[in-house]
Amino acid sequence: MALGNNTVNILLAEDNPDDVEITKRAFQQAKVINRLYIVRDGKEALDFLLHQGEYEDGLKAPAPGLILLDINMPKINGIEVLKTIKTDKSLKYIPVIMLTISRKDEDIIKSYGLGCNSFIQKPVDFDKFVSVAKEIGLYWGIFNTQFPEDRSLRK
Amino acid sequence: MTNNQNSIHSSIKNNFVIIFFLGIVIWSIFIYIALIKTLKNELISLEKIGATTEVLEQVNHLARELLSQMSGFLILILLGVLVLAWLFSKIFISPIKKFSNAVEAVAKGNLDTKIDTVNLKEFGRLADSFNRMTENLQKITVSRELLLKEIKKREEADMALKEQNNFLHSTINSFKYPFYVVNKDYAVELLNAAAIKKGVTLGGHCYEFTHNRQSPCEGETERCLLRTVLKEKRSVMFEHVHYDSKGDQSFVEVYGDPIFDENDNVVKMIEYSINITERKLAEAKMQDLMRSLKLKNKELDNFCYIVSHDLKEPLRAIYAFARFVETDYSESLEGKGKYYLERIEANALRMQQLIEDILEVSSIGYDYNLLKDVNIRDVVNDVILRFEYLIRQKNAGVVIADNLPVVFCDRVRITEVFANLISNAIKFSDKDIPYLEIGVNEKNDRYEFFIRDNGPGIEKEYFEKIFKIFERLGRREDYEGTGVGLSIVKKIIEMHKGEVWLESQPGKGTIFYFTLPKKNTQPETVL
Repeated sequence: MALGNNTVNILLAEDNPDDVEITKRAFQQAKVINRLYIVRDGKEALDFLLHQGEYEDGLKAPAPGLILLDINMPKINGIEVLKTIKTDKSLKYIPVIMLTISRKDEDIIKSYGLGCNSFIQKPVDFDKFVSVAKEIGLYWGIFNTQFPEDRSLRK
Repeated sequence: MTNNQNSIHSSIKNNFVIIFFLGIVIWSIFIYIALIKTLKNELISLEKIGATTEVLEQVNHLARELLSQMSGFLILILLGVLVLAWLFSKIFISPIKKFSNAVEAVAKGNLDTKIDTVNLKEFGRLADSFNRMTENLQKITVSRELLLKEIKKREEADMALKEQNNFLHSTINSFKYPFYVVNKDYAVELLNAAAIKKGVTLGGHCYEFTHNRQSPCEGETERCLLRTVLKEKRSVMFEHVHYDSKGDQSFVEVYGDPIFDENDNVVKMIEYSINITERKLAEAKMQDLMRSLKLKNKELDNFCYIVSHDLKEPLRAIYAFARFVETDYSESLEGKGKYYLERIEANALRMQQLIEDILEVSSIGYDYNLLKDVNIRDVVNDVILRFEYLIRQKNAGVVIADNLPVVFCDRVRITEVFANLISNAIKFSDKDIPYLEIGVNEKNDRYEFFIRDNGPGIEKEYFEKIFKIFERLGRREDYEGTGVGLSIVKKIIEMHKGEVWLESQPGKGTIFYFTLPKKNTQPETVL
């Protein structure tokens, strides 16, 4: 991927609709131009990534270049989704950022253990959250080099 | 026989000869007198029949000659008798006397008596027999004496043995727990009072008393003590479960010690069992308690996390949406609209900080950070760096002593302490140039750290209050913070077994002191 390529899609898994709105707005205010796809729980996230269920038709679910996972989600929580992602032969190359409100050592250990790329606590202060979003967009969307698009390389 | 009787006897014997001799003499005198009388009678009769004087004189003369000759013979006989008597005494009486004396001596106990030279052959043989007899008697006496000595020795040995036995029994009876010796066939050969009390009997088998069985234990659940000791030839200890005759069970620590013979084979085993049922129950109870404590702590941990998480979520939303209104509708907001929104936001932030602080205070003591030797100089430098912006903003001057030591403590928490005190000193300063001094006084068993500032000072009546949670001085708006900081400081220091206090006067600044012990004392840990 060339520098400045803005076709990196971001998948956000978040169950709280307020949080969804806040996050969307934060990314907007941070001028992150990457497309944000939202799923409402762990199951939907997996359906999206694996092109099953309501996302069987892959067109609605392009492969993201970055996944943001909220840890506390119903049905299947963020850590379980992480596990599935990092053990899937094609999904494991996608960087995953875990999002949480309250820091719990157990979660942090598990997440890094399963291979997440980053772990971020969502600040209460919205403005601070905006700068976090900005950094995320800058770092993962622009500075970071993505895994090659050529899927045939993925084993 | 008394000495007197003895001497009378012997004198009678000795004088037998004399009496015999006297007898002969008296008899001779009688005969003599009788003869003379007969002669006189004959003379008289002769006279009567007219014998002449010459005849009479001749007869007298003859008679006198006859008499003198008879006297001569008599004397000879007497002499002969004397000689005979002497001979007799020598040949018969003297040896007999010797024998008699010897026998007396032997009777008195003098077995060394020997009869020496005797004249006659028969006496000789008698003497030999006598001597042999005394010899044998001596031998017998010696043997008897030896025997008596032996007996005495044996008796003494017996006594000693009895004493030892007594001591042994007293000793083993002093043991509070059952003690007995079993042989290779599991049979009890020796036991103490405590064992008897438990129903152990002499000759009975250990498995009857310990496991209520009729045959040796199979060893499926526990190893057999005796077989193990026999095989491994050393002392062993097992934790076993014993069953008494009623089937009631008890937990025991059972000790088996081998008794070796001279070829180093185990021939018997000493068994001693200590009842640890109470201890086991206490242990089990303790484990239960620990388990439930751990569980409780886990629950509390969970609770704290859940509370914090579930409170922060809506808080974020409150703040964010207030912000959105403020931003999106700022033109429509009239009057105090914007102000109210700002108040909402500020309170949301404050609540967030509160939640964080409460979490922190409640979590101290529930997690146990690694203790190590911490360079306090580095810690202070880190804190100063952390507040660099604030320091510059407030134009504060900070002096750090160069003798800050290395202390064995929880680095993260002690950093918190310094952070709290230093930031307080800067934040609450009312001077244009806040001044801060961080130093240490070394004492015998502890380090006394101090942080001195030139701030407004604190009134004495508040000295204790400020360490209480949520207590604050001054108005809310003047100073940031939720008022939790100092209570955290206090808790941390106290967990390090130190103390914290202050000296201050309004208008004269404040010095906060806290101590950390020199030797390693770990903070209390709750599991």
